[in-house]
Amino acid sequence: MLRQVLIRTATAIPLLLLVSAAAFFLGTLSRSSPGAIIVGQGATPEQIQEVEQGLGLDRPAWTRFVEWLGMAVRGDLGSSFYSSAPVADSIMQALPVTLSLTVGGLFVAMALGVPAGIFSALRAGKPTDRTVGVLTSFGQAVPSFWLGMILIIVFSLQFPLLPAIGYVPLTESVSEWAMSLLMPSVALGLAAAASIARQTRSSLIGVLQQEYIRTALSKGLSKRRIILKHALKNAASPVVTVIAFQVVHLLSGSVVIERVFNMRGLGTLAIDSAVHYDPYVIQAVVVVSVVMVLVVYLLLDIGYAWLNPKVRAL
Amino acid sequence: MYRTTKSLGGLLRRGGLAIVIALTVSACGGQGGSVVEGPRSAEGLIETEGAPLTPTGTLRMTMAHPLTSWDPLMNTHQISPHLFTEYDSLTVTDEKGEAQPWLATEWARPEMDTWEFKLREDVTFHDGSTFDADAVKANLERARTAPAGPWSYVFAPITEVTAVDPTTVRVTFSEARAGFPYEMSTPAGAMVSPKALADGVDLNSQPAGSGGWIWDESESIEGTKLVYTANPDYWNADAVLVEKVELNVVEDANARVNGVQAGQADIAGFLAPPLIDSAEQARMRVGIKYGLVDNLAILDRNGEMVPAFKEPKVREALALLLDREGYNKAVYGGHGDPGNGFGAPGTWWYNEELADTVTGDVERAKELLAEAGYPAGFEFEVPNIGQRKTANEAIANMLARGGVTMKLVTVTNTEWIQDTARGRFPAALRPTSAVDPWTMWDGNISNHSPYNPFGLTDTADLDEKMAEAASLDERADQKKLVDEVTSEIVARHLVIPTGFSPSAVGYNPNVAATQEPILSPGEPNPRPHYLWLKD
Repeated sequence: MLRQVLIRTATAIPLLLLVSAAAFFLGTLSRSSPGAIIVGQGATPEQIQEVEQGLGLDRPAWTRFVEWLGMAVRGDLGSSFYSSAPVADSIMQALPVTLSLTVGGLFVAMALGVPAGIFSALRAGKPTDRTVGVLTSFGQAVPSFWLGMILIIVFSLQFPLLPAIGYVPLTESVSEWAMSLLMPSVALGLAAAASIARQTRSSLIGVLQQEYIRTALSKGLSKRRIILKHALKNAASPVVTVIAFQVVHLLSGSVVIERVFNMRGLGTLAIDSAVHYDPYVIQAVVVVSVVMVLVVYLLLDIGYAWLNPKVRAL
Repeated sequence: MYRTTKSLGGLLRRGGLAIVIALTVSACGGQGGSVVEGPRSAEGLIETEGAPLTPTGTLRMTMAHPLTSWDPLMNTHQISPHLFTEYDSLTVTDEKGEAQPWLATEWARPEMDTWEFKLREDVTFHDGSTFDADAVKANLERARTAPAGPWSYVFAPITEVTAVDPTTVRVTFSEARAGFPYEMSTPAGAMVSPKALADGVDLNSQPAGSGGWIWDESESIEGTKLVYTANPDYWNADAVLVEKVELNVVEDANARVNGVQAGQADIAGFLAPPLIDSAEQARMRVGIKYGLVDNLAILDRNGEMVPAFKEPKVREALALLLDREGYNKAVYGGHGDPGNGFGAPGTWWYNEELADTVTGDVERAKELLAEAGYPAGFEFEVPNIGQRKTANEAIANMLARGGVTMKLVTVTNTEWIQDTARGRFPAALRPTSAVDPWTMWDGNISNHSPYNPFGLTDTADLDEKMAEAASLDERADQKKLVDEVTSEIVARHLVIPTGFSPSAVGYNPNVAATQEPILSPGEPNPRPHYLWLKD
């Protein structure tokens, strides 16, 4: 297993290099001009050129990329073209927001999805199963931003129970942090919950039809014991895969939710930097996002190994 | 606890439905009948009774844009509230777009190319240094030699700055600059501590002003929230009525309104026109000003890319196809002003004669197109960016009624600036200043503006008139010439004005002001001076 982790980590390095190079060189194809934004609408082409020279944008793209890479390896992610703020500081401010949202969304997804899937599987074909099916279809179909708006209208404007906008850092107040995350997490996590519920249902139904389950039943084991001890663990592998994929979806979905609830996380940073073409910020957001996805997949592999001894032996 | 607001239906209405209605109206090319509003202050905002004697409470404003630099020279109007909580400007602007005293108490023009400012004697910067003529000289000298920025055009014509005595500074220009006192009310006129300039303080990351509040770095979160505390030594103590000011960046327009309605903020700036009605229904006090006028600029009047644009009759036809009242309803929900011309209603250079120009005469437009040899219309492209999509679509729909096809080419914001300046498009929807006529003219319409990619030479006579107007002392004399120029712009159809765009601010009913807040047309939020909290 340790070997697997080491291999995964080693292969992440060229992948990171490739993705960051792709992001950088794709960015250079943009016709956006930071100089034009900084100088403003009334600027002459000469003034724009002067600013861009000051930013080093007149040098070849590969020179700038190698320079950035050298800095990044030393832990320096550069500075924003617009605010001159260190990019690392911006990332460190935005990352907790996105991680909080993702963890909150995942919590909602798992807390709703797994029990709903089990409930549905144990009543397969019955009206309650079909009801859960309808609800999961609804959950998958509802756009997260729409749900977010409805939640704000109901729980902030009609019944003033929760804040409509903003994020309170965990370090400031645990209860206010949780309050500020409640609605965004539900809006973000509902679709993921529906996917997890569907996967849990189909996976568990498949396992419950296996020979060894029937054998266990015929030996007189209680249904509860069979499900909790045998069926669930064997049904978990595909569910874990779906959960891992949903984490990636939650990370990308947080971009929209951040906007609706005015939470300035990585998504907002990504949009702002892409719209204005702030290359070092874009690079940092891409690298951090890739690292997060790689960590999720590494955890997925570890999860597989824990659930399946055959994988552990590889 | 968060404050209760209004009906579910009203809230639901304000999003997508407003856009659908706007586009429907634009497609129909509305012919009059709209409710037209002039600029208006927020009703009931002015209240002196009960105002605190010492700064009290925290005023929370929501802003659409984050502050990216504390250096005033690197900021635009949109960042004014962030800046002017910490900094003071030499002048401020009233609702008519006229400069009023602030750090400068009076000003005069002894020569056509010279402005002389008298300065306050009781101003101290937050770092303890004194505000005087040398401080102003240091600021203007820095601005002249600073790297290019949004205000370069203000400082480029300055040839000399002289500290005549500690309270008098003289600024000499290479040409007559009538708008300089107004320009000193913008971020260009924000005064930075001379000590900070001499010490080489990094103005991107550290402010160095003399304003009514002092930035509190420990409570602020970069890009998200700026917190300021009242300056106990401020020269204008009557204007500082709140102990703390909190500026929260809320980029989404709906979220800004939600924030005020939920009691999480006191003021929502940059209210999008579709949200104005619902904000008022939610008992917010809404103030509207006009800082910009939308124009369809015909950049290719030589007909290099689109031969039809060379024909004056074609340009006149386009002007007749554009129904300004329909545009106002479609794009601004009726909260803009469909008057023709360039000076906003209420400003000293508002041209009354242009207000009644015929608009939306499709039959006459078709006749003109036929007379010019384009009976079946023609086709051209304009750059399109997200925030102008509705406006561009409204114009395209109106022009289509005359057989003219305006194709929208999606570009990014920066591409829009470059492409328009470099001649990729023969025309573009461009807003111009409705506050200062020289900013409007020199920055956008004149042949010597940055937006003359086709090398036009058709404004020389108007350039002379604007220069002559700048050399006159009396507003009445200036207005006469400026009116002639704006009337000529419309008569020659150099650009086609489509109406004044509203700049709206929503106030929670708990906010009051001892006098009209400082809010220049074009600024998204008021400066916090004179504002106080009733609860």
